[in-house]
Amino acid sequence: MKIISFEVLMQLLRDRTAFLTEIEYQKNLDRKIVSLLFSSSLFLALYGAIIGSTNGILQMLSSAFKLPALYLLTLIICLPTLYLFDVIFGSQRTFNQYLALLMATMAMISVMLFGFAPVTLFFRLSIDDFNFFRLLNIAILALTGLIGVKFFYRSMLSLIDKNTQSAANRYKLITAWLFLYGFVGSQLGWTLRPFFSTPGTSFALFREIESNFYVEVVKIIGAFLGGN
Amino acid sequence: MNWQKLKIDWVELEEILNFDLKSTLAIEIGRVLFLKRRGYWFLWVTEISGLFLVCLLLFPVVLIIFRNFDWLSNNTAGLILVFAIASIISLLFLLGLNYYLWQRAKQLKVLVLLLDKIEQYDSLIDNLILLSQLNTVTDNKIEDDKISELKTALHLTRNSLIKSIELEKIIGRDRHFANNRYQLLTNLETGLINLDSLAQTNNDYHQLYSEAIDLGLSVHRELRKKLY
Repeated sequence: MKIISFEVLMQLLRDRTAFLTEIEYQKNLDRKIVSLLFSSSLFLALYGAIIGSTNGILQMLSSAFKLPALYLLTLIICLPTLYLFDVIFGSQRTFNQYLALLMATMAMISVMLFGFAPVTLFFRLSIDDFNFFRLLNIAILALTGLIGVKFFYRSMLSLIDKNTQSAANRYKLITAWLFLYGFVGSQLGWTLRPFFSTPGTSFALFREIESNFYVEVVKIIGAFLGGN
Repeated sequence: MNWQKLKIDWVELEEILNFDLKSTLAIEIGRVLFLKRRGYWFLWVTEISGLFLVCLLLFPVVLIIFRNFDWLSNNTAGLILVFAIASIISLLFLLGLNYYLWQRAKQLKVLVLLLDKIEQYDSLIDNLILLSQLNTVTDNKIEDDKISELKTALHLTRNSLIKSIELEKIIGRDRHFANNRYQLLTNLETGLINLDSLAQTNNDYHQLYSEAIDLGLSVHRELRKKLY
């Protein structure tokens, strides 16, 4: 009996229908949650280490812990809202079913990031334009996040009984919750920064809380286009 | 001859046991500590994975709390402090969890022994499969009636192992039963002796009935010997 196993992740990637059916019937939910938590944390830590490697070992170590923590904390912060509101709107699902679905989403994102890791590493080693590297990673993180969220949305829809009266309200709830998830995630990322650090600067564990994530992205794009 | 069908695979066992994560972990710990068959490396890998996951969850929490209270310097010393606090809390958590799992493993000792017997049985079947393949190559024929006898014996062993696991699960479900296992077995034995005395007639049906009771009694005596 393997407690932590990559087989769960492989099942999720290869046969999503069977995976979702098992979640629906609550089969080995806790083992699925722990296995997905472990594999996604490992992949995210690896990707975090790559993006943190722009400024020495300490930044690498710090980012390796911060990136998985970002996804996990976002999940922990947003999950009760989804669960409680969905129950109010008539859901019969258990807390562990929601958690397993969100862990599956996190695992999907982590696998995609792991897939992008060689590309990121290649650009990390072959260019010296830090703004480009930052933008590239923001694009990768946004793309993988969007695909992950789409997976979660579809999975949730498949678990909702379409014949119930509350189905329409629950669809709206899930859409609204996904916006909340994205907003909390981006703001938490802003709070936990720096994940990237300008090469040659001294190590910084955190930054002062100023402005917000979206303003900073506009600034980076401006700096990149302005050639600074 | 399809020997594979006689094996007891983990999927079948998981369906019978349907244990939660804590019990599964306790069984795995019990298998390592009571039987010492599987190496300690398994325990270490599980413990280190657990430490990594808990540390990962605590890292951002400690970082955000300490930064808000202004207890953290924004340099290497700050990173070491966050790691140290997250590691200490994670270790304390793991110590507590291990103590709980150790207590649970002691309650599940008989089940651990039974699972080990099943592993030995499966390995016997594997050897038979290998032997049967070797015999096909070397044209060594075993008499059909001997194979049939062996098959019957293995089938009986298989059934008895599965029944023992089911019985142990029922006993383990109730803590009261688990703590008074000796009393429970004594009661069962007395009941069987009473049934035996009622079945003292000479027809074939009662003869078989009596044999079944004798078999039941011998199993319980054997189980009791192993337990105490």
